[in-house]
Amino acid sequence: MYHDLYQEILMDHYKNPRNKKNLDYLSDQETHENSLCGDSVKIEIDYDKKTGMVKSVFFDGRGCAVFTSATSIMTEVFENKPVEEIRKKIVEFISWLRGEGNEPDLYGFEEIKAFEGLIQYPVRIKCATLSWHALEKELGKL
Amino acid sequence: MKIIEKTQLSTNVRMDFPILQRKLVRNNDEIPLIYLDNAATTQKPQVVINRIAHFYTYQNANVHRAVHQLGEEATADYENARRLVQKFIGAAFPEEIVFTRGTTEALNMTAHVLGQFVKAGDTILISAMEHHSNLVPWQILAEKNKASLRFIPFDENGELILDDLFNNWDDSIKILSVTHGSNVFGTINPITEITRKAHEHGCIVVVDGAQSAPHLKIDVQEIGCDFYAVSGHKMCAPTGIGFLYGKKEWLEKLPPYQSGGEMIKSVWLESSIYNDIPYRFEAGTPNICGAIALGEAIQYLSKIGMAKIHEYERNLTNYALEKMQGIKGLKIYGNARNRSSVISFEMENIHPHDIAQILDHQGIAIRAGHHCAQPVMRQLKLSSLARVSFYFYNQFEEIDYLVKQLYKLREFFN
Ligand SMILES: Cc1ncc(COP(=O)(O)O)c(C=O)c1O
Repeated sequence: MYHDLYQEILMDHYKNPRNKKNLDYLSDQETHENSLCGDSVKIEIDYDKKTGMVKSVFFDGRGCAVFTSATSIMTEVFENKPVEEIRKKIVEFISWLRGEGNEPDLYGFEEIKAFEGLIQYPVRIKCATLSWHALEKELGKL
Repeated sequence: MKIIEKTQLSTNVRMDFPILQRKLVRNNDEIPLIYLDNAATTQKPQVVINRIAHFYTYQNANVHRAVHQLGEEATADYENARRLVQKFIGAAFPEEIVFTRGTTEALNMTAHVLGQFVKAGDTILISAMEHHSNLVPWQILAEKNKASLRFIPFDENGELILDDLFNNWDDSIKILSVTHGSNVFGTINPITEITRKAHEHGCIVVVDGAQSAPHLKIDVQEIGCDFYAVSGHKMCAPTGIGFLYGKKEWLEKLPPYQSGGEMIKSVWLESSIYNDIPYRFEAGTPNICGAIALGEAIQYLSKIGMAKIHEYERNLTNYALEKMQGIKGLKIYGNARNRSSVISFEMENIHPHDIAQILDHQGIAIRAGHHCAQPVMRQLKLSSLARVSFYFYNQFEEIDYLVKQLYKLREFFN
């Protein structure tokens, strides 16, 4: 095995990303970019206004294995979750990777442990959190 | 199939670089460092490191203003470094060498001081393969002076397309600034020919020498260009030092870049008389030790010989190109006839960042990203590329190891 960072889970999400679909209809203004590498992502939220629940999250974008797997896992974690909770979990996830907080409880999704190895690579944390920041911004527009 | 001879430069050059003996720890094992990011910056030989220590241990003083012994010595060594640079690039006079922080500062300085020669409606011509540092300063000048910026295009081999430019020269072009060596494609541009053509039309020629001066014998008089910018850190010297070569007749008629001490001859409260060249362009206390260390690096490189360095690197690069071309799904960007030791590539289904990170895990340092050339990336419809770049201390065995790891990487991702 190569590296903790490239465990099977990540490779699985990289090769078969979940909830990925063509979002060409979204404009450039709705594209979130990592200025370091030029990778970008678009996010679509299926939201139930009445209940305040996010039913599903979809993404479109091409990037490295860390970016793709972190995005794919994120869309799974937040299926059928209340908006306010998602916001809190996003903040927790990002501060954990920055080494500023404990590992968050993401509804028991063990996959996120795979990102632990990232904490020693500050540059790559941006790859893992790009979509999480993007989702946070998109939630703000709901 | 071509057979590339594994030539030897000189067996002991690696021993001159203490960092190349460094081991990295991976999974509790020690593995060798394989440094293949030389286009970003090169490593420093012991003689240069010692020269820096010597300066601060025994010689430190300011230049050009002290009458004491230390000041005299520092000034003499600083000016000697200028003469070493002059000889290294074949300049006619030492005062044609202005010390700067590096290429970026040299190009910013050039764009700034040439401002008066660009009028509304004029054209500044650069190429579409420039590093941001030879693009943004000209964008700013063009905007300020209401001039337009035009670009020499490049073809699928990463070579400049010059026929159209040469055959239909546009007399509104007042400045042409182009890179000698591309930091993405490794292309060595035909800078002498470009200069000759531009001069036929009275156009000023500026050359970005960041990727060429470390690898080739440069003769600015043979090239004929008006300005030539270089970074020391890409040629064995420390960071924070580089130089701008400017033809004497140009420098003499140009205004200062920054102002303060050193750049003036005499100061009254209302006005000042600018100093002679090159001091007019060296406002404030310069990077004295950096310049002296650059001089030491130049002596080190000259002792090996720039022609030998170039020839060895060419063999090394051809060897790497041949081996890398054999890897399925690996695509090399840049196939110029005349090239330097830079190889940019991508691999099917593997993001450049993943390539760089996994190679790092094997002790191999390469670069991944847009290489400060985002317009180039856009034309190639890529967001980033992986890049290996060699210097004369790299070895054929290191390339064998790199290639082996690239094969493993492909297997892992496919
Ligand atoms: C072609 C080219 N021009 C200019 C530069 C800028 O050099 P520096 O950052 O040393 O000023 C570089 C450095 O990467 C380069 O490759």
